[in-house]
Amino acid sequence: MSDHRSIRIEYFAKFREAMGRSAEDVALPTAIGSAGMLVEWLRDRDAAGRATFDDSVHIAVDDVMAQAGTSLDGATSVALFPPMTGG
Amino acid sequence: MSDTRISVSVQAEPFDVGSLMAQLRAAGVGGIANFTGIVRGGNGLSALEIEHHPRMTQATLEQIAQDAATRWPLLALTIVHRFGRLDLAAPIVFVGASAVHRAAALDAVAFTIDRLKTAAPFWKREHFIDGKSAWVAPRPADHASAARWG
Repeated sequence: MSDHRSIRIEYFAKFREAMGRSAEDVALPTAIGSAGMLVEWLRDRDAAGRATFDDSVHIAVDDVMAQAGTSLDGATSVALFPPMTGG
Repeated sequence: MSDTRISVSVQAEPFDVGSLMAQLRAAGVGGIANFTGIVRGGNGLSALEIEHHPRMTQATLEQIAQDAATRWPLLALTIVHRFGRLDLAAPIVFVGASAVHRAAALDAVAFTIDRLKTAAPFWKREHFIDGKSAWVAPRPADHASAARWG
């Protein structure tokens, strides 16, 4: 059993610019089991994550809108983005 | 399932309101309501840039259209949303609905554009004549408009 799993994190709009990349593949500790925990993990990881992700973050897991409590079991990608401003 | 004819397009290319209206008209008669969003100038704006989540936008707009078709008896509902760099006065978004009676068409269009603004993964960036640019902040009024539909 591995205590990490690979997951792809994608960033959009001002989050993409703040993180300096559009996506990254990370080895996520398996203890990080929900979408909200992943955001907290990014905030704890480095200054860029801490400065970028606040309460406004929207989360999609495998291209479906998610909540902080959404499970990451079996997930391959998580998208993080700011509030939408289309239309 | 409703039998509303739903058409959703996410595209970089401009769209022609006349031909979109003709398609709605072909779906049946009664009334057609529509909304077209246009890039507005002023405040030194030179262009608008729209980023989106390519794997999610089409499905999200289709879901919004299905929700509208469930709430109102519509003959047809069309959504077109552009992405990429848009010049001043360029069309950004089109929502059109045809129905037997006007209330359904008018309400469905208002619902769809309100919901789209806060729920579909698009983000606007403003480019200014002086070379600066900035992401557009979400407007509380847009969220209030979306919330009124429950």
